[in-house]
Amino acid sequence: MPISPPAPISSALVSKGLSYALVGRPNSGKTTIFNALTGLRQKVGNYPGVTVEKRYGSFSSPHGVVLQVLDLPGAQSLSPQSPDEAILRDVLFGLVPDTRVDRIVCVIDIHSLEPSLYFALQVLELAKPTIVILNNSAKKALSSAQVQALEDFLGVPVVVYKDQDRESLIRLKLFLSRASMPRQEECVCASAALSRAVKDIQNALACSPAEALAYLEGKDLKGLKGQEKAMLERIQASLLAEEPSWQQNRIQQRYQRIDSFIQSQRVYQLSLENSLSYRMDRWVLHPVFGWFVLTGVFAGIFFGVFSLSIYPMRLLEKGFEGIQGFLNTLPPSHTKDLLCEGVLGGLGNVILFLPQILILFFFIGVLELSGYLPRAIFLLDGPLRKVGLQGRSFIPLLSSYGCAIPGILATRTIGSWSERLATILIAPWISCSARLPIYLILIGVMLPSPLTPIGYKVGFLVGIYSVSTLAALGLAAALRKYLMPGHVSEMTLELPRYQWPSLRTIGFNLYERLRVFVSRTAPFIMAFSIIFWFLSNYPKASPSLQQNPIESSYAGQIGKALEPLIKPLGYDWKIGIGILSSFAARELFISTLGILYNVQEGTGAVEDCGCGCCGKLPASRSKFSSVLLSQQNDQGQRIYTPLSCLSLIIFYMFALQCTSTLVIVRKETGSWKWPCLQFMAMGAFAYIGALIVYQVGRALGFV
Amino acid sequence: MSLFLSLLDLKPGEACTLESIEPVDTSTALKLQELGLTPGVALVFLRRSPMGDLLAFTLRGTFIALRREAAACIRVRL
Repeated sequence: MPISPPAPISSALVSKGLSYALVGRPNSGKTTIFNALTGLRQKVGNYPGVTVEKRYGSFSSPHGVVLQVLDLPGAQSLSPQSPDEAILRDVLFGLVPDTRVDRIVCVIDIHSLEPSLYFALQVLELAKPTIVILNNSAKKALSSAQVQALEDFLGVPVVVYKDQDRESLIRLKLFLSRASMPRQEECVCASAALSRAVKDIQNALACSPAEALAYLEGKDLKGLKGQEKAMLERIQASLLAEEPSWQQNRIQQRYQRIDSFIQSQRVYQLSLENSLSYRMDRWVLHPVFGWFVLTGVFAGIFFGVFSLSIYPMRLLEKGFEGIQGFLNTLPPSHTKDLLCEGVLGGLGNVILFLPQILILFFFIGVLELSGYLPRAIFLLDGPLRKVGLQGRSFIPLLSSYGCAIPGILATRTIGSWSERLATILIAPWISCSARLPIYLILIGVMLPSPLTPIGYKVGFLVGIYSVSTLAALGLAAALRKYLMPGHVSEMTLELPRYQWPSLRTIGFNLYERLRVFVSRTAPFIMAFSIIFWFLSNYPKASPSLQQNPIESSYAGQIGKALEPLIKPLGYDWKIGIGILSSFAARELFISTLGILYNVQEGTGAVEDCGCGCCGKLPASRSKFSSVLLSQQNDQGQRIYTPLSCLSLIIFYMFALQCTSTLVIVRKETGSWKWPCLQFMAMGAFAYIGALIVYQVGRALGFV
Repeated sequence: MSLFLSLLDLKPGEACTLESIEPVDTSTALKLQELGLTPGVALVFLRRSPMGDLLAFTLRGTFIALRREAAACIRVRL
């Protein structure tokens, strides 16, 4: 069937605002195509009721018509194995409110042609208007006769797409603006028994053959009740009696069609053994060398995050200084105080750590797109199973070093519920980047710079990270043993070919994270900083009294009320306020102390400690540490002693003080039970841990 | 030695042809077949994961890893 040149889009479709669903297997290059089509005209939201990310955008056809496109999660097949894959099928069946799909674009990847074709055949059986994109970014190209044969085989238009190729993008857009599209015949009913069952359901429920098949496979599209449900069960039972393996037969028939197509076209020979990926995997997956590669990669990432983030952090510091300098020229007023201390002191200290998070996610993006991540999962699956998790828990845990929220969202790729839940529950114990500034400042107090070699500080930090990681894994083992024992899910893992990561795709991801930060996180932190600034400045103390003005403020009063509870841990009321503010988000501890002690932004000079990473900290942090060092209580004793700092570090390692994390856990687990349990258990653990450290330390004669 | 081997009996680098999938629970069998593990398909065993029980194979032009439990119920012929 030759494909006629695309006709201009009809006016009926224009008024409807045609909406495409972009579907494909994982690693099929679907997201690259989505980015190429929509550019920055894309949005990220959520499907109602579930936290699966909904990415959608729009683009203009060459005729100037605006078309909508929805990037659905990648899946191996339309039979869902995880929440991500379930949403794909629900959207295609039109079960998701506010999500309309007129046409389907199915991406098939030349590197995994057979599984891709399997997925495409399943999609085509839905009998929706469909277009197939052959992602042909590799050197191995299909001849035009072969593409033509593919078109005949699938019965729908096939467009060849090459990444970074303007011409193929324009051709793709032309195809997408076609007025009409052929669709597959309604039902590929392989056996008489099956087509009879489909007919019966169609008659009873007044649905399409594709929907009837979905009912047969056990998917309840309408929420059937009573009579209809009983009838459906009767049809299912009689089909099963007549053809027990009808589902398997359908799968095998699809593959038989694919096999005969591949053989007739001699599309490719299975020459994986000569491929670069195969040769690389001999080392990357090697039981000994594989670990060297893994360690090297992740040590490199953590070093890269800390050493690369210095430069943007310095720049940001310079920027804040500029703003501070400008604000200082203003005449003194409440507004000036608010801007200097509340806004700049609060928000500024948090924004400073944004580069670190973005750089970490850049590296995770590179690993993901290059194909290394599944290899890391392959290597780590064994060790992680020993603590009741599995290989796929690795990405969530890795992301949690940046922030627990994307980490918890990443658990959606884990099919088994108990393993997924365990991963979600331990994620807050992985030290996120919001805790890093707190660690660094407290380490600076414990081990003042001129007196201690820098190696001790680095060692201490590595120690903190190791202890919290081991504690998290220990917690996982305990949870899986006592709270949710269960057998480990069967798992299959695809190891895609290695490829150069698309910087464009990573760029879009980072941009999206930045946008979320600016639009959601930053206003929240800013609002809280302002509220806190108000609480710590009002009511104004009468000037006659010889006391710290904060002491009489609302914040001071709250802190004082809290003091008996935290005194045994070695904290005073100001730290109490800091901890309290951390419950909104940990970052706020620093900004709160910044406001409490009135720490101004640093001079921008960099303290050179001679080490590669944390020595080159912005000066404000070492200044921050020295301000804390100089704090004394009424008896003239230091408040921030090494022991109280250690106790504080322990507290921050284990306490779940992040409201956003609790909200995400609630969403992902579907009840408040788990976040509440998590919050209380981790809080109690942190409190008791800090108490033991402080009291035992005191008893042993440390200060 | 039985007439059929399972995927677990292969040595690294060994090629085989899939004979059948033992009747495990239906959803596992369906999932394996959807991946392309259908009768007659060719597989090459690459290696086992360290300390663990994932087994890597080539299948239909791709690399996949299967759990031991899943591999055990796949009958093959050399």
